[in-house]
Amino acid sequence: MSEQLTERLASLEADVRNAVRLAPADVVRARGDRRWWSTRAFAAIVAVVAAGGLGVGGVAINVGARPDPSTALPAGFEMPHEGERGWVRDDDRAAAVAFNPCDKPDVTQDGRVAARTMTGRAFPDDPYPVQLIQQLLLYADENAARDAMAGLRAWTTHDPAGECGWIGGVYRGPHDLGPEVLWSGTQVPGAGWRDALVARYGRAVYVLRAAGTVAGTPYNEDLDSTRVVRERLCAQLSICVLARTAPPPTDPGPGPEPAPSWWDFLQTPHATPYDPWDNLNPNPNPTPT
Amino acid sequence: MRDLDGFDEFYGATGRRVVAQVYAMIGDLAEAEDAVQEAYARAWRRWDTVSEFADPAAWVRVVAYRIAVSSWRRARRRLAAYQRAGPPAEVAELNPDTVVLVAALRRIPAAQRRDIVLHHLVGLSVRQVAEETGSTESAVKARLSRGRQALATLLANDDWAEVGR
Repeated sequence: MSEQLTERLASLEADVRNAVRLAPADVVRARGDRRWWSTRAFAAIVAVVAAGGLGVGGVAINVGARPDPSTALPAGFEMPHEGERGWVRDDDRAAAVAFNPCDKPDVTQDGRVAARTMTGRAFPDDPYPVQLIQQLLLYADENAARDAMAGLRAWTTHDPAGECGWIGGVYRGPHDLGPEVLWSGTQVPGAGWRDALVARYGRAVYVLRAAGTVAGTPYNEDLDSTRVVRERLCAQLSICVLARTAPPPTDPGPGPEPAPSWWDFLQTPHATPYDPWDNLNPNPNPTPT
Repeated sequence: MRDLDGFDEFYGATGRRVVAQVYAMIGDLAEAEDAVQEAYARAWRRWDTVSEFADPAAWVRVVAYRIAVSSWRRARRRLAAYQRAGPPAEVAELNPDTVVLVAALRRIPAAQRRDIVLHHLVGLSVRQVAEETGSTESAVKARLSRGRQALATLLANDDWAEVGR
């Protein structure tokens, strides 16, 4: 009877309550206050810099002021899926990059001035939903974004026989997502597929991270979200990048030639990689691929 | 001015219970403790608003769960915790029954696990579970049924698989 489950869970709660080590309330409050002040201090520093520099007399520190528009996402900027059921938005500027297959030091932090991370599911009502992270990283200048992209490029083209098991290269379709777009993917035996797409648009880097349990589960609409983000970057932040032409204006770096096709690759098992999604059990009815 | 005493009382009365609930949902006690404390810290930052909610503990639980399952935050939190306090302390002593139950819970899909905890431990109705998880009542019922069946198999107790409460 389900009452037995209820009783057993109640015993679990009683047991755990005795074992829990919680910080005193004043420590928790201090933790909250610290974050509150650091956020405002950052905003204040940005406001001061925007007003003409720290050396200018008479500049008042406006605690809580809005950051300089050139270093932040504009108020009306929205990522695809914002406001949709089950999607969570995080504007933590220092959020860890969504694609880090080997769990290495984050190469995307230097020079970053803003970030937005959306987490949710494509086809939330589908029995085999695809877990997604869409992440926009904004940098102070194009050089910083290029450096971040160089680090990500090394990860996307990782040797499949290596420790992480991901392989990828230059993204070649089916969507036209811009001139500097890379992809990478892997198969997790018994758990499904994982892949990532990384694009640079001027001083912005966009990362799309996906995880599914059934090979071939489509999420083309969410690949297309990359194009949508690129258009909004152009319209709202004046970061405009031409559509891909041949040859690409930016050297995409080394990659397997010819690159395997997107879906063909997903049918091929590789070494078990590190994957932060593995504990999420995205599929309510897992069917090994 | 935020109500300091009110927050402390709320934290003292609900903190351990919420940790137990989140632990049952994610299966890692240290992660649950840290996520819940972060959620309470966030609650304190907007305590004027959160304290007006009909059930502030539900808000904390939802926030803590999201923090706990957010993988990149989890990695960052581990690093921060390590920098704060060094290597993790010994795992707390838990009853073997608790360990077995949590191990079984960890083997079923996260959505089923969360629904089971909300329904059978927190005591929410199917409708309330659907509201808290942003799902539908029929989907919650299906997940509860499947989750109980899976747990019954894992724990070799077919009685749990009966539908409904």
